[in-house]
Amino acid sequence: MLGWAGTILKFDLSSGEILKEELESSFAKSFLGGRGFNSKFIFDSLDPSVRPFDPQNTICVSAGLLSGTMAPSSGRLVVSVSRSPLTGYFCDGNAGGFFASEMAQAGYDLIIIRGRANKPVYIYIEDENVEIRDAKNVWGRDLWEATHVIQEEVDDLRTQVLAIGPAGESLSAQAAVICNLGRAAGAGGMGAVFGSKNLKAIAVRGSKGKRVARSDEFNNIVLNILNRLKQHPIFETWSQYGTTMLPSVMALTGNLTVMNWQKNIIKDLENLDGPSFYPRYIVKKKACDACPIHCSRFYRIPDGPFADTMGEGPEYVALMSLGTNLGITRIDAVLYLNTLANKLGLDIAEAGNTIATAMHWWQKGLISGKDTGGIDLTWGNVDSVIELMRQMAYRKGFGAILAEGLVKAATVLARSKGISEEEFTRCIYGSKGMTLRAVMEWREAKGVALSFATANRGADHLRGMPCLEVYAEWYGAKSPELVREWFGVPLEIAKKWFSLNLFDRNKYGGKGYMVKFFEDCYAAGDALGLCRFITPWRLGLGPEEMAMLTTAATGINFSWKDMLIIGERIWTVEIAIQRIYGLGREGDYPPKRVFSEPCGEGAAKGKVLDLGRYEAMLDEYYEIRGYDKNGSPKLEKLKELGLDNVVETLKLKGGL
Amino acid sequence: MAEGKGYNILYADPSLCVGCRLCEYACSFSKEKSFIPSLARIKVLKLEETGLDVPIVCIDEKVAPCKLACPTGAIIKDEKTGAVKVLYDRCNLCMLCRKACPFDIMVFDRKRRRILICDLCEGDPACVKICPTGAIKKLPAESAPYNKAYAIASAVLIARKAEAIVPK
Repeated sequence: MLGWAGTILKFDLSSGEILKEELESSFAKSFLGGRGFNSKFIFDSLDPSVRPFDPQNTICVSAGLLSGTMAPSSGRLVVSVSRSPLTGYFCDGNAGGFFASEMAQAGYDLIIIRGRANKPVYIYIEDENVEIRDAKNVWGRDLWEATHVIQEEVDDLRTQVLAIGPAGESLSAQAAVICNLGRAAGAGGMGAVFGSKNLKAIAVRGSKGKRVARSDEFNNIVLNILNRLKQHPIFETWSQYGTTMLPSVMALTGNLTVMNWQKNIIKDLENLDGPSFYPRYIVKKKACDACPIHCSRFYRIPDGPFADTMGEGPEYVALMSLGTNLGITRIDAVLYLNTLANKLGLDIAEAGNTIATAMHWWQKGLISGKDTGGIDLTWGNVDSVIELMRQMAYRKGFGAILAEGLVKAATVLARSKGISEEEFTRCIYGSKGMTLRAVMEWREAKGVALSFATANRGADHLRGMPCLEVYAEWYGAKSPELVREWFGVPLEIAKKWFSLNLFDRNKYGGKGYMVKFFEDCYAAGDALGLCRFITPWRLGLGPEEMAMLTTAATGINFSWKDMLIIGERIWTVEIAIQRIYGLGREGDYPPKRVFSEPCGEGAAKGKVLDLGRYEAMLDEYYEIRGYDKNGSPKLEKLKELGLDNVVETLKLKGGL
Repeated sequence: MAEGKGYNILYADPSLCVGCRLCEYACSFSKEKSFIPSLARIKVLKLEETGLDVPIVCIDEKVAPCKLACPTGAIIKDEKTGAVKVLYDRCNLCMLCRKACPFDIMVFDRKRRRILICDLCEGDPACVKICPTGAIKKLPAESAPYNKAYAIASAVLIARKAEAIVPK
């Protein structure tokens, strides 16, 4: 099968057994790769009784179909677990860097890990040679040291290492798995699942190459896309500043988040704006594998208390989660925290938002110095944030309570303080047990609000945020033709959005069409290994280009509609998993706060979500998806997507 | 000899390189019809703790150490393009050329048992065309003598700026 690396690699860490299986063609064609492979594999082998830290909790690590080729920005890695320690449901995380392409170069599309090693180990893969190695030299080390020690042990600096830090070892619910020192699959506490299996890292080196079916056609498509990208109106700025250009833009639209989403504006915001901090802090530009956009950057703090700290980043999420959302506007502090989180192996979004929530509890007087072991959680206190991050990573003091995840922490604190739990949970800005990874406003644009809530892994922008609802106007994309040209939305779909007036951010009706398109399109992108920034999210490779690349890579004809159907299939399988776990419609709601508390100071001031209209929007979304009122896929929908085995399983396990 | 006149050399600037490795893909594709960076004639070295990305190319200097080292005369310089070429029927795989290369940029293709060197793609290098930041340039050979030195110097400068702690 040309186009795919061709092999699935299975580990049972309990027995030490390693199996190589050939990729099966109907599975490959229906799910393409990446997130598609992970989700379907987890569905097929689902045991709803498995708890997050049970040996039988499955980790899937996969490369996209296009990873390891020259397709632009195609090196995204997907790490999924059947049970996340943070949410308690199915979850996955997505990371850039170079691991996915190296894995594809070594000949593997999918790595599956089960069991628990009886002592710390790491997995080493060099093409055909696959070993489970003793990790005694790296266990206990921070993530950067561990990466280096492994690269030294295998005597090759080009070996890609996907590792956990102390946070993963101590089973913190905010633990990420990170490759290239700062490229994290952060969502859902994956790192802790690695830790529970005594698995410190996966190191991979590949030299086999990746062949595509129609090589000249593939090459020409890529070259065309690269040329077109450079003409894109936002390419210059985006390649220069990436997401660091967003803070001021977000403030303009009322989407900036300040002090755990209490306000949308903060003094000295310009400190955190790329154009203002670049000259002093940014050493050079960085890119992930095969990425012409190179939106990332490398920083070094020249002086002050954090002098000489270096690292890759920061992204918008770090500027918010480790910055404004904590009341911090000192850029050197944010950069230091960014490096610290990566070394500790903490997920920046969840760790930052967790501390923001704790600060909110402090502000409301729900907790005090007695609970925190003397840590002062006043907004903007950098030293406290540093201390708390360390505590969360090593499970010490107050950090140990937070390391259980906010929902559990709220229960524990409420019980020990004798205060109603509602007081605590009210401050948690998220859904399905995950704080909003977007660090954007939930009350501002209504389609965006719907997508945050329906995101099937937890409150998240990367699952289906209809960016164009917020940005199209700002870009000046005022016709269906421009929406197609710049963002890759097929004309037929763009026209429908215009006729339904879906670019009106305050409108509730019809938003389900937009959200479904983005959810499906992103799922297909994740299966191909494409970065969000090269989907309709930003620089616009749409389903049409995805289909062309997939066709040329595999030699099998795919239309753009096929790509969206594959996306829909992946989405629906994921929903089926969550339904089997018992997560129904109630999971698809924003936090109660957004229905009663209007936005604070800022451009979105006074905006609030209307519960009744939200319910109607959700109903409409389910209908558009072919799901019932509880958000479960209907029988006809499953059959239409060719998911017959999902029907059977759902019937057996009570999800249908 | 036409050395230094009329042909071009490759020049890769680490200060512009963002480390995306598109050049490795493009190079391997143009030569092998497959995306196989392990056989690319250009390498991007990444020193992650310092953020440094250093593209290493064969700059086909006037005195090619590989050519000098070759005991069988299998390495020649193409008079027209200035590129170094390997005559496979003369090569005995002694690897002396690889040892002589100051950048270790020559690749040994284990499968097909041959030495690979950049041949400047007959004057139209794929890596130059694909590089999104213009970090790889084709320059006239006349400007050659200091280019490599500059490339290395700027790499060192960036490393110093980032207070390099290269792993020992």
